[in-house]
Amino acid sequence: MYYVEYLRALRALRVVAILLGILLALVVVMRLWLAAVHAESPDAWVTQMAQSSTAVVRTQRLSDGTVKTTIDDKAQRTHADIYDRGYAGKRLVITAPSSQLDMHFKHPLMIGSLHVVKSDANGMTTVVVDTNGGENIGDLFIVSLPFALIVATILGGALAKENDGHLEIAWTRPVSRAVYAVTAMSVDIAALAATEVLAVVVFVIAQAFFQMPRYGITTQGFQALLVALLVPAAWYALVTACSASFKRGLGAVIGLLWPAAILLPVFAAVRYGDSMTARTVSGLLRAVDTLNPLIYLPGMGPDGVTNGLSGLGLLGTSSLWASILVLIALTAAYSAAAIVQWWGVEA
Amino acid sequence: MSTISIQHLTKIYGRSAAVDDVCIEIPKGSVFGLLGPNGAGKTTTFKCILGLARPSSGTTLIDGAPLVPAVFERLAYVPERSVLYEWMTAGEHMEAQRRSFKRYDPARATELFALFNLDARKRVRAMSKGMQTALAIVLAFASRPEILVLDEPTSGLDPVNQRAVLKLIIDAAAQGATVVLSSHQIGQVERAAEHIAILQDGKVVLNGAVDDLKYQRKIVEGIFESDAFSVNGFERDARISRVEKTGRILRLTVSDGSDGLAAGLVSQGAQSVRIVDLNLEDIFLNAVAPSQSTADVVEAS
Repeated sequence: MYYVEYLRALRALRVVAILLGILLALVVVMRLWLAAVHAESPDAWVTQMAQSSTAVVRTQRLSDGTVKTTIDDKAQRTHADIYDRGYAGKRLVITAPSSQLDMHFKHPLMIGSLHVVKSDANGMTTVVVDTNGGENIGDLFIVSLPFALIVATILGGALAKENDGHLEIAWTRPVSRAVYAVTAMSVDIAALAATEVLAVVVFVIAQAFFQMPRYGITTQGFQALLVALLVPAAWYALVTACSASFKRGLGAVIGLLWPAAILLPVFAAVRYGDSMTARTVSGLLRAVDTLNPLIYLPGMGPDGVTNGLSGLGLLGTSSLWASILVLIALTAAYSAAAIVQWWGVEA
Repeated sequence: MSTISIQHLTKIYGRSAAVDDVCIEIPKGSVFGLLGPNGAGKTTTFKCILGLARPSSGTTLIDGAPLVPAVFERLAYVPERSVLYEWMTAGEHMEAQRRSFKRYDPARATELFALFNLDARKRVRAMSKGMQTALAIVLAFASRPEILVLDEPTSGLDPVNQRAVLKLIIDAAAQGATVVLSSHQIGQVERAAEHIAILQDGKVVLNGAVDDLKYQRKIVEGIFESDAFSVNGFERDARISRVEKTGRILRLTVSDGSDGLAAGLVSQGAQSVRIVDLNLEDIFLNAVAPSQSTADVVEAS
């Protein structure tokens, strides 16, 4: 029934697939570059270290089941502690003269669950390698958000696109306007979710080029996942609501919404003084900013960690559940506003 | 019973009435021509019938009831201008239609595709105006609708395809469909339509069965010996809508039967009299622009 909307969503997903394909190609290039830079893996280097005739290797099992291997080579001035946690990954802490380690660990690395951190002191270098640490799937959804926002912007204004010369087709189908609008928007919102899933799959593939992470999800990760799904949906609904009664000018609406959504939190966070006028302006900006879906993203708060809602002092810092509820309410309200406007449109 | 009933329909945009107190009954299973010059209110009337525009006052009924979405399962509309999605192919439009309408007949669609020589892979933006019109026609007829509302359905089509559309319309009506069409090709309307209404400035200026209108409307021409003849009496005849005197010729445009007029002209001294049947174009021009209705005649003195 909603084949046109499906095709439209497919076209938008094609744009995302191209962007993700470019990203994947860059990852492959990066992996090849890293293979050249880190020609020797940390494991191989440690094995080589253990085979030295002057090395003393001790193994012990810790109370939590971790197998700790210590390699101490006083002659070479090298020392390594390897904590093998099985499926939970390994931690390697290697200390050696900088002249030996620098050639192997030129660059610190943090990709997926592979973390390599290097520090130098008194001619000695310490390298800490963490492998197969837990990766929160919710974080990947947050990272995929830009792609979903791109698609939300492409698909946003679905009703305005129909107003622009296609109402005679849309409104002469055997369904009511409201059902048509709800279904068309649902198809688009499903496409937003599909975009994020697609992006997450590509991210997982990209990470697998380096090391397959151990994926998991915490309560906070699940909240982040929901926020990541809801922010583009609310943004899409906002664009649709702001353009539902327009026959043309969708581009202008989008062109105004993006800077407004980005600048509003900035202006809302500014302290304008203690005068009544300043407080009124500030309060007004904060109130309007609560309608901005983008402020509910983690990291949009003034501290860079909380979201804008807590940053505005409207909710506590652990407000992800509140953000989720607000985002659901905003999506529903904007969608309803769009449908109400669409009722008033004439071909 | 009327399939479409328009009662006192008025649609006002700003300060002007696009449609002003229009009352039309469109009989079931007939072809109805809605004629009028540009801006007469034909498209607005169609939009009000289909719920695409909200009437300022008055009502439109389909089969005696207000329009509901389910009616579109058996009603097809071809708008005046292309409303197809320019980024979609013809095939994708057909697929969208198939998924939207239970009555969609794939075999019929294929047959119509071939009739108009359409390419399913071609995007609408790459099609000519005529091809876009043809695709709209195919989309409309592929569901074998019971009611067809066609606004300029032959616009941009070549004469061969115009004839094909005309045949589709006549065949659909023969199978019981009700067809409402507007067209500037009055000859086509005359060939297909049994009833017409002529709109001008949003008002109905003429409405009726084509045969009745043609029977009632004639031109009675009398040729006199000299130009010194009297037209007295003719202006007062209620049946005569126009009297033209051009040299020795007296031309009477009659709108309600011509009985007795020929004899009247002879009694006034006319040497010869002839009664000319009006075609629909003449009737149309008489209704909307009487001064242009006899353009082939020397300007009256």
